[in-house]
Amino acid sequence: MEKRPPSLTLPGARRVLRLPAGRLCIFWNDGSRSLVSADAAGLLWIDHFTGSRRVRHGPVAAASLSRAAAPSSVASAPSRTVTAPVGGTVARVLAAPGQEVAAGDILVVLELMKMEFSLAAPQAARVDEVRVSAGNAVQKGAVLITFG
Amino acid sequence: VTRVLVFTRGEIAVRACLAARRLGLTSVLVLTPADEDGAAARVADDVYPCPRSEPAHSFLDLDFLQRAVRDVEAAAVYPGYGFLAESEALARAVVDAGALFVGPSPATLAVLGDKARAIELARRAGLADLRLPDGPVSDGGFPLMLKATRGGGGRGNLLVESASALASAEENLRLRAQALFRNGELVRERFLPAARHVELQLFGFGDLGVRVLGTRDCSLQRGHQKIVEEGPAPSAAARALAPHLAALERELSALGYRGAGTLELLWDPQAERLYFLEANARIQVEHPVTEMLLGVDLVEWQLRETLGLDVPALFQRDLPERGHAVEARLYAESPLDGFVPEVGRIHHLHLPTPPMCRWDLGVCEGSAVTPHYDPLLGKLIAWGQDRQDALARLAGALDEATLQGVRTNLDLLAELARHPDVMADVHSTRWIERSFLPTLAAPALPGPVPASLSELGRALGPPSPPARSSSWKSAHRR
Repeated sequence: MEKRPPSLTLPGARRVLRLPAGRLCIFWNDGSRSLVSADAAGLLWIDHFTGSRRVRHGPVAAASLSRAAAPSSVASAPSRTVTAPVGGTVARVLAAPGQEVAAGDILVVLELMKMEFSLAAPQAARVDEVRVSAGNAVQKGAVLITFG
Repeated sequence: VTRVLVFTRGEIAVRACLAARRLGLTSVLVLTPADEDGAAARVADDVYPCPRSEPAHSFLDLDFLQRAVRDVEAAAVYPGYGFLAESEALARAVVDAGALFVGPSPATLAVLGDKARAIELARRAGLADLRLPDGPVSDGGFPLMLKATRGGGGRGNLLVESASALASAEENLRLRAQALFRNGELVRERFLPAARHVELQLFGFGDLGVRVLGTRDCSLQRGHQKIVEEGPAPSAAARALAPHLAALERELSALGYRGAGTLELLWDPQAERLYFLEANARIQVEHPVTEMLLGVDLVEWQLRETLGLDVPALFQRDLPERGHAVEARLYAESPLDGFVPEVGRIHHLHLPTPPMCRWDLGVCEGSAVTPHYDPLLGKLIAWGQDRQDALARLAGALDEATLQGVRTNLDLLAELARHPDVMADVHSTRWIERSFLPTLAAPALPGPVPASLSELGRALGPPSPPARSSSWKSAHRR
């Protein structure tokens, strides 16, 4: 039998149930309920039930209240680059060096298996360099566009 | 021993292994490093390792396939969907290696895989289509849809809004089609802005003939990618199809059609007109909708038809359609970040199945989601006495689903299943992008949770390397 750690009390919770494999089921005072686990990187995954509805949150960094702390959606200072969120093939390039773009303008379209997804400008900026063209294979994290 | 080589992956590979077992056949799964922790590896009777995960060196590699057929001494090869499933080249490679292909003959695939020839067949059955003649297009002809004749799914289609964009769009799509499908031929189609996607499930028994098994509606799409499918199709569309069924069965019988197949159509509810789109000469992702309506296992039918296991009984069986069925596709993707596919490891998975619901899954707890393949993890199918009942059961089962470790579209699916427009059945193929996605918003962490976050972090243990984003790589190591 797995030896379970001692019981846990949390502010705002009337009961915390320890489940196997380090998972928690939390019964909150307001009648809602959360199912929480942590992944190998220590990020939290929280399924929250209110009534019969479930809303899923994750990955959430325990140290921060925002999703922005998760590694896949970094949002902090204005970004100087657009990088590939996944590896794939460049389907289209819609930006040119010197072009002024507005936040949300689609700059590059990537293709991976049957999915196409658009990479938008994170903020208004002037495109400095376009490092890819249609047909290029790119790795996850590759810098596709830099801003001046 | 009769061995079936399962040359596909994910949930459809699981289905093939299960069907093989029920028929007393031995399943041998082609297993790539990326899928070692997947669900199919746990149900196959045996595996044939493929040293590389990339599609070009696995499920698109016909030399590898032929070696596998010979090594395994496979009696048949099951292709699933996606990859080369409906390609003449795959069927021919299987036959040349001395096995049976679970699907139509190479000659039949050559006809139906060519959109222009498939349209000719549909015209002979009296169906209209949207094909535009080549040559200059008047301004009233836009927007129009460009399609690669050999293309499949969303990537072979391109919407052209105006005459000035036509030439460059044609050049782009021709290049893409040449690269993807090794054929740059295009056709132009009239574009219907508010249409429903309906389709016809059929099954061919070679010399015995072809049976139409029912209709489906797959209008809930994003960028030509189906998300939620249901059946039967709206009754007006089904009524419009009815006069053509006998002729379609005749035309496909004349081709000697074998196995599962689907005819895709567009239904214009305002004009009450039906247009043929294309034929898919394979099992489809959404075939469980028809399975639930009829109470059959179409993957088992495919194997029985190929191997000659009591086929006349299947052909003659009386199959009344009951109630309504809905399928929702579970994707590892982040709808709030432009649907970017997710990679990672599913460390917590619990999918209760309320009555009349079933999950067809390619993953289990501990499975890696890698960037090598389509992010489809599985499908939830719900049956109900009627449409409202089926949608309610689908939403209920989605609310019970726990999947932690990669982000998914589960919340989006639940929202769709109980959206008033969907319940009222007034959506069209562009409804998700036009009306639904703009309303999506990231939910804030609910009331009592934020105050407890740091304590939760401590209780669930200190962070340990490696980082989540690279955890799939452990499945890649040999």
